[in-house]
Amino acid sequence: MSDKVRVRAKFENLQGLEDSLRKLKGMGIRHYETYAPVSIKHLEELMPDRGSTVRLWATIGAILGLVSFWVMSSKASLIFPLVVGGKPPVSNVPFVVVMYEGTILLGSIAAFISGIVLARLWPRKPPSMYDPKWSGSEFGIEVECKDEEKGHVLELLKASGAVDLYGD
Amino acid sequence: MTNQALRDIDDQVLGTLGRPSIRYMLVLGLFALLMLIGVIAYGFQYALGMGVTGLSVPVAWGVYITNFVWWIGIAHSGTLISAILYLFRTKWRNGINRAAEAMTIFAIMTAGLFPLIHLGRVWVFYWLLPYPNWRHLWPNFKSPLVWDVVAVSTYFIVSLLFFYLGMIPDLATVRDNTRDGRRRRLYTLLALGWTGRYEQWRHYARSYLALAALATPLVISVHSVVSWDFAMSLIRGWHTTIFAPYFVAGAIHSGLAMVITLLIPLRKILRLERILMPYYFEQMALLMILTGLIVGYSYGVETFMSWYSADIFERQFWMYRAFGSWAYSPLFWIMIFLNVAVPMTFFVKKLRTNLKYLLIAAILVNIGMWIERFVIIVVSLSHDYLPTSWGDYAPRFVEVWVTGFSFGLFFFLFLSFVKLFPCIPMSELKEQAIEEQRAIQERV
Repeated sequence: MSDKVRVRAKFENLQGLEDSLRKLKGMGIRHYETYAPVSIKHLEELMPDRGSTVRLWATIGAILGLVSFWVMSSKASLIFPLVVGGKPPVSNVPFVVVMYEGTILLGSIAAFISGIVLARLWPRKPPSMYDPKWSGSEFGIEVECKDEEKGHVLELLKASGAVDLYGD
Repeated sequence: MTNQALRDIDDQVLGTLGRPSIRYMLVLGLFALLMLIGVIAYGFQYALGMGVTGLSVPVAWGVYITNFVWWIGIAHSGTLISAILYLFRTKWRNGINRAAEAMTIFAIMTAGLFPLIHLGRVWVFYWLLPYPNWRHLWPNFKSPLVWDVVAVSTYFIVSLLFFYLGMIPDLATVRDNTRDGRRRRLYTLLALGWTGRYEQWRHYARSYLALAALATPLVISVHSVVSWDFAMSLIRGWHTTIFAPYFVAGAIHSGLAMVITLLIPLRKILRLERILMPYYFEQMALLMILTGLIVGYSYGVETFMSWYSADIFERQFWMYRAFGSWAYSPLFWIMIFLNVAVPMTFFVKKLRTNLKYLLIAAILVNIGMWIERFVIIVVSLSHDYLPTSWGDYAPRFVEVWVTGFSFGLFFFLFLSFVKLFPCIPMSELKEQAIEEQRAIQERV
């Protein structure tokens, strides 16, 4: 079994990156990662991984918020079950406001935390291979390929307009 | 070509984070002084009690609650611009959403102080919060005041998360372009190791979209809940079903006016003329025509309902508000002029594209919206059902200086923000530039 190597390239424009992704996909290479200063939606079809579970977590958080705020309102009202203003202790209509806010609150917190966790973000320095220009105006690609494919991949990236090429 | 466009955006926005000028520091110092005077005035109230204010029976809610409602309203357009316009894929939001979001955060922080200041016994403010305690005393969840605590706290937390999440890619850009050691450490910490990997963008975009979708109903709910503080009671001028949409429209109206008030000087001071294009301000002016019309319609409906109800209390109250008091009635007419007539001048293209005029008009609308809150709160309380319980209210110096404190705090925080963090969303502007470039290439 041959060893895997990593090839990295830098592009001055998006067109070159897109072009190289198309060629890599055509070659059957599936392990690559792009670096960009912006979110590029149309790259989705060229990337191996798609979708995200953030929405699922946000929905779970929202449902949890709805239920927990209803439980909190009801339980708290039952500690001293007084009839206030003609309303029974557990009055679901006024609790709708609290439940509504709870749904949004926990749904939003879940959406935020899941986004951060899934994107593997935490306070730290970027890795040493990271080029600071990738957060500015340039684009990067990192390809994982077999050792024997390395030469071909380098050639392909260069043909797509890569300005800087380096590998393991 | 694209590369150059992206570099231009970075250069212009990063240029705003340079060393502050002496004039900037003087203005910042002025706001700090305003805050200091406000703190001294509040110390006076803290030591002597609520008797130092003009609050008394029947007007127990005065300038403090007026300020609370007004600042919460100001906070509304930030989330409108960042969340609702994002869901509608409105491009003109891209240049202004960061500043509007920052404005939202600082306005909620400022607004949140006023219920505490108004409490009198501020040291027991935590009784408003639902927390397990040995006395088993919980707030009454059927009370609109507790709804308000829950809604405003939720709004603050969600706005803060949305604001921070949106800023992460830009914080990475600032981190990668900062040489100053301390600043670099701060941005490294806040950027959370962002590298712009596709994997990061993928989850980030979903998270941002989910937050925008959740923040949109929140914008509508928060000021509706604030309006129910009033509408749930039986006071004339408060107890009406139109209050929720009326307050939401008014909030967005005043919020847009504040965005314009902040961004026109900011554009000049930070030399952002090439990014904050007059087109953005024109779009906001057009939106203000809509909100101004809704506010005007609400004034009309209130008038119509008080006549059509055939309720003597409703009719006499409307007459009192419009003609019955030398102190309050002029405010009613000034309010209509500033909130409805002034924004209608934006129908004239020449006026709405003139930034100086727009700035003056926005300041006038801000004043008008504050007067509206005052008219709703104070005038309604001063003229109840029984003539024996009627009474006037005028704010005392403590209330005036504490109000001054709120302006000092808000502008101090905003000015500090624009020098510490990118006030223009670079990644979104870059995305827009790339999309425009692609559209041109496809056409060619």
